[in-house]
Amino acid sequence: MIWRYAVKRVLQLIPILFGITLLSYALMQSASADTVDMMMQKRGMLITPENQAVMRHEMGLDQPFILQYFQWLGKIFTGDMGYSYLKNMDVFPLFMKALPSTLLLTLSSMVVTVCISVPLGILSAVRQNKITDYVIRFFSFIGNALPGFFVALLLLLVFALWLGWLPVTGNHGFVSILLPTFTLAIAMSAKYTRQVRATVLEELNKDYVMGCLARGVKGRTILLANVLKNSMLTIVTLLALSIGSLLGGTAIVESIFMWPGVGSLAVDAIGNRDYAIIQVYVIWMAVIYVGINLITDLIYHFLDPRIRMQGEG
Amino acid sequence: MRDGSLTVQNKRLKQDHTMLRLAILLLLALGIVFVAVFGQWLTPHDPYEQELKQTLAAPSGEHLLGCDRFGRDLLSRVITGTQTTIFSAFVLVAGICVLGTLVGVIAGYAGGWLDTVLMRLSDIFLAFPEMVFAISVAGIIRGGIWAAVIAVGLIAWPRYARIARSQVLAIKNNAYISAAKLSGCRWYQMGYRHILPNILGPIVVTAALDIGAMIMNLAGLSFLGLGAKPPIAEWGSMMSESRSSLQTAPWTILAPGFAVFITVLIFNLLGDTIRDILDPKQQRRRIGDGFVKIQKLVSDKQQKRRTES
Repeated sequence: MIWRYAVKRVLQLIPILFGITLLSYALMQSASADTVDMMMQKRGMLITPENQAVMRHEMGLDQPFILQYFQWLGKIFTGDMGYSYLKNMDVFPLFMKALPSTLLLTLSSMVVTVCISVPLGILSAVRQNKITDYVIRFFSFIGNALPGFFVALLLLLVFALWLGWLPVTGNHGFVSILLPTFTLAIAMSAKYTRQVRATVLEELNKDYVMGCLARGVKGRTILLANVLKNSMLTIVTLLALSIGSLLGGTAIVESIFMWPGVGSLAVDAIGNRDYAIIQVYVIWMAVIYVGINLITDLIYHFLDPRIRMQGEG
Repeated sequence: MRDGSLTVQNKRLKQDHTMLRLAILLLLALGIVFVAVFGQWLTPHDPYEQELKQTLAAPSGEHLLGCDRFGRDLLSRVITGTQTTIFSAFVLVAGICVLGTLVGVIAGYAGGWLDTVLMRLSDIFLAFPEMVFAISVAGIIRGGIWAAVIAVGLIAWPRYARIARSQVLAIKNNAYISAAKLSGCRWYQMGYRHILPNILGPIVVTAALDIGAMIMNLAGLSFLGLGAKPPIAEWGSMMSESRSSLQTAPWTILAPGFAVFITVLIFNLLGDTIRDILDPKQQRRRIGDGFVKIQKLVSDKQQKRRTES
């Protein structure tokens, strides 16, 4: 049954992928007048209307939009995603070289987020409306209102400049990942702690918890053996769904810490109007995001017996 | 029954001091809006006047928050920046709220192929990570803060469309809708008199909670140089301008940074309070009370038994 569901979900993805590429293409097309002028400058051609027309013909820009789109799509499938004027190389290898850094940063901040917010969220739920709960919620409110770039600069100021414990920017091995990781993790933990708290509270309020308590099962046993086990699925799903905001958030943080990932690559490219890089960035980030959501959804369906049994029964 | 539940809710709100919280936060938010509107008469100095002798001056009696690297008074620039931030965020949230609701109501009410097309369209936008899309679009359009507003708005409206559509689907088959239809109600009357008032709650809550997030998004884009551009006084671009003086003059970063922080904090708290009032279903504060109470009961009883034996 799960396989039929998986196939259905993957098939649903096809129009979405078409949409993603079409939208990205349309966006870049709107900037194409620039591209023509820029190419001509690069080649040392005079910018006259006749020359522009020749150039447009050469680049296939005088054909109908849909036709251009499909030609471009065909090129993408063969791995040709365009050429970077800035770095003088194909953008696809450029992007692939930077991608591991971004994924590493994403992963490390997820790990830190989980380590911070799962225990705090559970603690806050169990001690609901007590001083511990209020303190945790207070800090999560603060974290929620701090923009990522401000956190980044504050951490830089305190840990790199005042205390001198950590390098300011760049990639110097393990230590240089700490500041960007915590920048991303602070914002995410604040949001996520509240979600964990709400999930655990909801589970705590279910009838079976009262039933167990009435039968004399210890509160701690119920919490560890039942409540946490049952809320884990929701907690993991919420975490996976927040990857989207993380993938976007890395761009600003990467460019502040000069972390050599795809985000800073894209921000640099925007500054130099290198549209091919931006295009590859948008499309691939969307594809990764969609892929993660799909996997999350499938795992959720696979792990939740209520949903899994539905089809079989 | 409606009266009954309302009284219960009013009682709850009174107990929680929710209304008091709302009043205080509204006052604070109005204070920020006041600064945004009348900012130019509140600044102690000209926010664009460069006093080179005061370059990177530390906070003092004359310049309460210090000066930036061009010797411009930071307090005046922070005050002036309120206007850009607040107005762009309000326009953005209002825009995506109206557009998204419109699309969602049409899709939900019309159903059929129109529903399918509109929802597939919004699915496509939802497939992009929000800031990735916003950064790229703002980078392509390039037109100051309004380019950033359009870029964020373009990716954010489908969330509202989703909410509005599901709300419409929930009320669509109610008897009063059929009654209105039977008595010859025009489509626009149907829309604003019968549908909108009944679906507005969750949309308003989402919008209220979104203001803070949108202020941060716009400030982030400006920080990257994709929103308001220097020399315009805007919090995000002020911080990006002062990055090089982070070590020598941290107040150049801290002043606009805390301005963003406090503003976002107030609007987030306000959004939370509005949610508590409008959306009792989302009220999670009392959930779990049963657990705590019973746990206490059980431990009390155990203690009693122990002392007895």
